[in-house]
Amino acid sequence: MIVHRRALVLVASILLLLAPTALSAQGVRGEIRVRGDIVGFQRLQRDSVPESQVSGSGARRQLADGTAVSCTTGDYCRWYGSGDTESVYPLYQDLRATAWTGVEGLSIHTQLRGRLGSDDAWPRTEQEVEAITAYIGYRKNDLWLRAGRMLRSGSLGYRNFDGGSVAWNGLGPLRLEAYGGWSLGIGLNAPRNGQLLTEADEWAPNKRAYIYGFDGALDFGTNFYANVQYQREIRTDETGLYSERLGGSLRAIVGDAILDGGITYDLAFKEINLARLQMTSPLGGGFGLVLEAKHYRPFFEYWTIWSAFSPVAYSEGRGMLTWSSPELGLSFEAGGGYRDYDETDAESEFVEIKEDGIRLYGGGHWVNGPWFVDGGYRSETGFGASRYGGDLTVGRRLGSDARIALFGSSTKSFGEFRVGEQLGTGGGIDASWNLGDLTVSGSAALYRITFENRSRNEDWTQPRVHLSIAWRFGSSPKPRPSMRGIGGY
Amino acid sequence: MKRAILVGAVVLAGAASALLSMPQQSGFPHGRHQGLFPSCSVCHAGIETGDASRFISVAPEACQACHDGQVAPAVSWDGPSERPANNRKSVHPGHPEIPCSSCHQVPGRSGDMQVQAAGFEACQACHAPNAEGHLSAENDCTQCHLPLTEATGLTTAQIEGFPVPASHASSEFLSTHGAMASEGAMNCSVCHARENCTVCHVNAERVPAIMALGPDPRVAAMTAGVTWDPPVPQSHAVTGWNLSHGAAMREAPNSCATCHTQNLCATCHIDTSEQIAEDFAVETSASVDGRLVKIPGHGPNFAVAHGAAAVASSPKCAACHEETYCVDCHDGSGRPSFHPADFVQRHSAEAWGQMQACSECHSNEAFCRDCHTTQGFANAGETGAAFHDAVPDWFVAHGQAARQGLDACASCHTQSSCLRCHSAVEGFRINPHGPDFDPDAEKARGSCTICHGSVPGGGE
Repeated sequence: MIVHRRALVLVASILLLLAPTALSAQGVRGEIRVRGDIVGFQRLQRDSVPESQVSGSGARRQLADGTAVSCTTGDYCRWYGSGDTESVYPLYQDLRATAWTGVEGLSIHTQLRGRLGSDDAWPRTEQEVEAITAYIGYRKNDLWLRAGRMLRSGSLGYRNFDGGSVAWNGLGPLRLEAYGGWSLGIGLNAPRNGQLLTEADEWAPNKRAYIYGFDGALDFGTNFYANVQYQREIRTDETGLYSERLGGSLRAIVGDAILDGGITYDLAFKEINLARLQMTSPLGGGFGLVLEAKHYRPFFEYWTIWSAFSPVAYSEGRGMLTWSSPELGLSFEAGGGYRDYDETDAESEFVEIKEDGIRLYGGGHWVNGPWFVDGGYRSETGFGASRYGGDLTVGRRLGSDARIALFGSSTKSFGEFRVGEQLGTGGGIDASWNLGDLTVSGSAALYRITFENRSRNEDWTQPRVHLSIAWRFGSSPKPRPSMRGIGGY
Repeated sequence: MKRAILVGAVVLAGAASALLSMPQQSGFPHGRHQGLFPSCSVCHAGIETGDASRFISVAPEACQACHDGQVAPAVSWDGPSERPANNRKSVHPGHPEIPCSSCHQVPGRSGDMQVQAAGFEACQACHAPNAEGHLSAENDCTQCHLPLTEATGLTTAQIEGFPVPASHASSEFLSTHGAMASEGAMNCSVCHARENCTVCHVNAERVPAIMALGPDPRVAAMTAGVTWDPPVPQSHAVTGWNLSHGAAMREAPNSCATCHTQNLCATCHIDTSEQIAEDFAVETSASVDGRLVKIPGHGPNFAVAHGAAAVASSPKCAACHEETYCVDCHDGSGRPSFHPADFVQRHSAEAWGQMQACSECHSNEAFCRDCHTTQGFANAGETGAAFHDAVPDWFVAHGQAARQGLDACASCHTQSSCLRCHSAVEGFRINPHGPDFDPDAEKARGSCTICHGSVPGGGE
């Protein structure tokens, strides 16, 4: 178990604060959720035979059954085939609570997650307890103060850290915020130099980092939002940076059209990581059009060597046509996009790797009384991996507190720099039921995974079982059983 | 003789006609008895005790003591008849002591016994001298009338026959009666019981003025099955009302709560941190589910393109979304409803295609690589490129793939894997930098030491 003392102290502090507050506060609300899964997986097994037993010459040869192997002269020929089929049992425990203290404007927020009881095959199960958020907030007039472990969203994305922030919106539509503290690993809720990273990468940071930033936003009602953000992460020994970036975002309603855009800029490499502009416009008759232009190059933190490998950007144009009729309870969308990668200066004369990609998708959603149907088709063709496939959900609400649905999908994956193709087809049943303050939801599905042109891969059947029990306390609103996201594993 | 009979007949007819045309004696002729009784209480003993059954306390025999046909003409009176039920409040006793004549004197006459039953004008003369009439809003009805719930003798017919004040007919009464009721709820109580209000007010239990009215079974019976289809206020027709109604609600939450329950709010709002929704009733029988809710301003694809709105206006987001709503998608460990169905099986193409930046939410090292390692996909230090078996010269070709999709590469390969060939101090020492690489990117020079052992050109 990885113990993050700072996190535990935070958690303990919050719980101690919550205990008396629960008795005297204006209100405490929250949820305890326990979720368990059973997911089958098939390991990929590396195998080999002595090079002398494989006919042919050179590094690339074929076994008698057509399996492509990689050979080292005088050594072995190697390939990857199916290994054992196993199941993994992740188990999550979530506690989230918000308390109003009775002091006007003062509130306490926390969301804790445990993975106690999970087996080790699931990602991050070593992190048995984590605090996703645990902060105290105080709002007074135009001021909003927060301190603790918090999540904040900005043009540079969604980040959490241990520290504090001061937000002020006393100048009409202008909101200013400054924040700072200790940086956490992205998506980890753990220190930069925590075990999760150091065990995963030899060159992971050996020092924590300070994070600080400034955020300015303009909010003119629903018609215009704009945001500019600067953020810097520096090692606590101040010998180097982990990141320094600028971001901006914009959302404006011009006439009937919605413009939505964003840009992020890497101040070290002086490169744009993301530039995106999307326009959404109604066309009348329930139709709508979405057009997007995007330029994207991934950002890598400065403690990695990846930026020095000169990753290139792609530019993409995307369009989507939508139609909806609230009266009929019907909506459709269909669209596609084409992207083209910048010159890599690393092309090989002997191997052709695609320098572009195409996305296609279409889908519909229909609600008719208690019944609902949701379906979609997606195709993604590019370098590295391609796939196409569809999914369908047919469900029925049972009153306002329960829902049951059947779902299924079929996807073919290919072009993964590997010989052969994979087809995954299956489906299952999904249900959700509110029982007073309890919500019980679960699903059970079976998927058949089959291979083509991969003789060393064995077809197998994957079980996917999910059960979640959530108990709400205080004045937490009960969730309405969702009609979307079913079968989303 | 015939003439005498004719005259007699005419006299009798005239007398009969006169008798028939005379007003019926509906009460005691007080004026004719002037000076006979020393005080009103001789016959009205109840006025001193408040005993309504003895407001007329004199017995028929007392009249007959004089009206025996000899001293005075005989009268036929069987005693006080049962008085019809009413909702008048007795002022005997309780009213400050004033002469009986103040209320009971017949207008224009003088004398102790020139009295009559008091009319509302007599009360109004003192209690609401400026009121325009009996039903004027300026009147305090409760000065003279019992609350309806206490006037238990009234029949439903009598209640239905209550006169309607002119104010109730006003076109503005719908919007103004709340304030009027709050200021003078007891006035309302004279004609109304709680059930009159609950027909329309879904939040009746949370409105003090309504709860100040008692429940009444007669009104409950009268209003049973009555439904009300409220007119839609003009404000609701304004474009964008769904987004702009907040200010109006904060200004007068009770106004909204009259027709709307928390259930309707919960169609979009889940954040009640401002506690405003507490003024709203909770409807247990109704369901707001089953609608295709169209959230204004979100538009298609908002699930993906919501960033700008979210960061510039997070307080607005918080009106509908709890922080955990964001966490469920962005943290990467909640139920993966954000991703399309069957995502685990088919995420490879998404990752290579970078439609979304996986690393915005997932740690490449501790999430992606962790799982890929468990399943045997990730590079565990071996060489030979056997995994990428579809590309014969992978070592030669991988550079292009890496530059186009380095994020995906790093989901299996560690930095050390690449350093075997790309280190500047050992191995094949193959330079990974592209032609546009900026060696003077000083802010990131800390990472130079990983490959070079030190920062080329000096520096830390």
